[in-house]
Amino acid sequence: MINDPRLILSARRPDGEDDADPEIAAAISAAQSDPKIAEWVEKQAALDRSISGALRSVQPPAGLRDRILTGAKVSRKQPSGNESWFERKVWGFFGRGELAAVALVMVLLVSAVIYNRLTDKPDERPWQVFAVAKAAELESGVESLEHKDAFLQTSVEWMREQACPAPYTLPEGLQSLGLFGCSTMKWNDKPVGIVCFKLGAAHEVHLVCINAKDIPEMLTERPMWTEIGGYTTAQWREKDTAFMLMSRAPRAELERLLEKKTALRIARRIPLHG
Amino acid sequence: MLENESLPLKGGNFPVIFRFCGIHRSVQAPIYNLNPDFSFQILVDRHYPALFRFGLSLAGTADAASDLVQQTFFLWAEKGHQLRDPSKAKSWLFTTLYREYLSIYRRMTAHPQVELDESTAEIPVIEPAAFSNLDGASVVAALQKMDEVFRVPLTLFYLQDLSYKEIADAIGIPIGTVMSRLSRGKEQLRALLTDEHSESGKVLQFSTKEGAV
Repeated sequence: MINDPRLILSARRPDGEDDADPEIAAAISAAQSDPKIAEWVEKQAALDRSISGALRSVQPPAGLRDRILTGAKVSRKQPSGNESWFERKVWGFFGRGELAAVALVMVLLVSAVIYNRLTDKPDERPWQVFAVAKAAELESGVESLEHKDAFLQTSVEWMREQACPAPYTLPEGLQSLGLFGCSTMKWNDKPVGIVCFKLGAAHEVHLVCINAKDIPEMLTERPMWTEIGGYTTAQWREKDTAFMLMSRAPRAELERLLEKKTALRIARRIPLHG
Repeated sequence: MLENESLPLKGGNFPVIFRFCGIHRSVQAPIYNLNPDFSFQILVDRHYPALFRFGLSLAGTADAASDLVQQTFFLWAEKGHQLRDPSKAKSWLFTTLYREYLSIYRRMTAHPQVELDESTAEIPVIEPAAFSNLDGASVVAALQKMDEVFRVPLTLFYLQDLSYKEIADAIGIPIGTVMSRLSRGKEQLRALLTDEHSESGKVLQFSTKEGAV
C-alpha cells in the first residue's frame, strides 16, 4: 500500500492521460488538499513536461522508416552481399525452400478464407482498414447505403437515432458537397458511422465516425494524413468522437475540404405524441 | 450507390477476387489478408519514432537503436498476427524491443545486477525553472548514465506512450516498484541534468550515420 500521493503522482504522465485512473485520481484529490503537496505536484508536472518534450524531440535517422517497411516486404531478389541486417535475415529464411514457403502461404491463405467464412471471430483489422474496406464495398456497389438521403442534416439526425457516432461540426467544404447518404456498422461490436459524399464527377468522399474511447489511438484535433489501400485518409478527433475522411481524390482536394469547420444545424425532430 | 449513380467499379481488384472466390459476405477481409502492408505501415508510422527513442536510451547509439527497432518490426511481421487484441499492439512492440535488447546487449556487456532498496525514498525538492531549455541529446545522454533499473521505466514514462500499469507489464515488475523506480529515477535524472547544466557549454552528443541527432 502506497500512502504518499507524491509517489503515486510520480507515475502520472505529464499530458494528463492517466488522470482518469482511480489511483492517480485519488492521489490528485489528496494532493489538492495540501498546498505544499499541490505545489510540488505542479513543479513536478512542469519538469516532466520539459524532459518529456526534450526526449520526444529526438528524431529517428532519415531512412529508418523506409528500411523497416522495405525489410518487411518479402521480395524475391537474390541477396547481393550488401543487404542490411534485416534483409539478410529475411533471405536466410526464404533460402531454405522458396517453393515450400510459397505453397505453405497459399495453403494458409485458403485456410484463412475458409476459416473466416465458417467462424465469427473478432475483427483483427485496425478500424481504419475496416472503414476503408467498407468504403470500397459501398463504392463498388457490393453493399448499399442503409439511409439514402441528399440532405446532410437529416442524415446526421438518422445516424444519431441509430445510436451511432455522428458529427456535430463539419468543415464547410464538406457541408457543401452533394450527399449520397449514410450507413451504420459495427467494428468489434463498436458502433461506426459512415457518411458518403460526392466530390465532382469522378470521386467520392467518405466520413467515418467512431467513439474515440473505442479506438486504441489518441488522435488530436489536427488531421493526421495516411495512405491506406489507395485511399488518402485524414484522421482527427473532436471531443469524444474520432473521424476519418477518405477518398481516392488527391490529398490537396481533401485538404481544401477541411479548411474551416462550422457547426451543423440539426433541427430537432419533435415527436407527435408526448 | 451504384443504384443511384452507376459508378464504375473503383475498389481495386479485391472485390473481383472475392467474387471469384464466391464470397460476398465480407469484402473487407481481402484488404487485410491480401494487403497486410496497409495496417503494417500504419503501425510503423505511429510507433517507430518512440521505439527508436526507447532503443536509443537502452543501447546508446542510433545504429544499435535502429537495429532494435527493425528487429522489433521484423518480429511483428512474423508473429504480430497472433495478437488477439489489436489495442495491445503498442505494448507488444515496446515489450518486444526491451526483450530483444536484453537478449542481445545483456550478453555483450554483462551488466552487474544492482540490488535495490525498493522502499520509498524521501521525495526531493524540485526546481523546474533550471531545466527550461533542455534538448533531446542532453536528456538521452543523462539517461545513458543512469542505472538500467531506473532508466528503462523512466524512458518509457517520458515517452508517454505507456501508462505506469503498461510499463509494469512491459518490463515485468510490480506496479508499486514502477512507482518507486520512477520517483527515484526522476531524482537521479535531475541530479545528472543539474550536473550537466552546471558545466556550461558541455553538451553530450550522440551521432548517427546520417549525422548528429
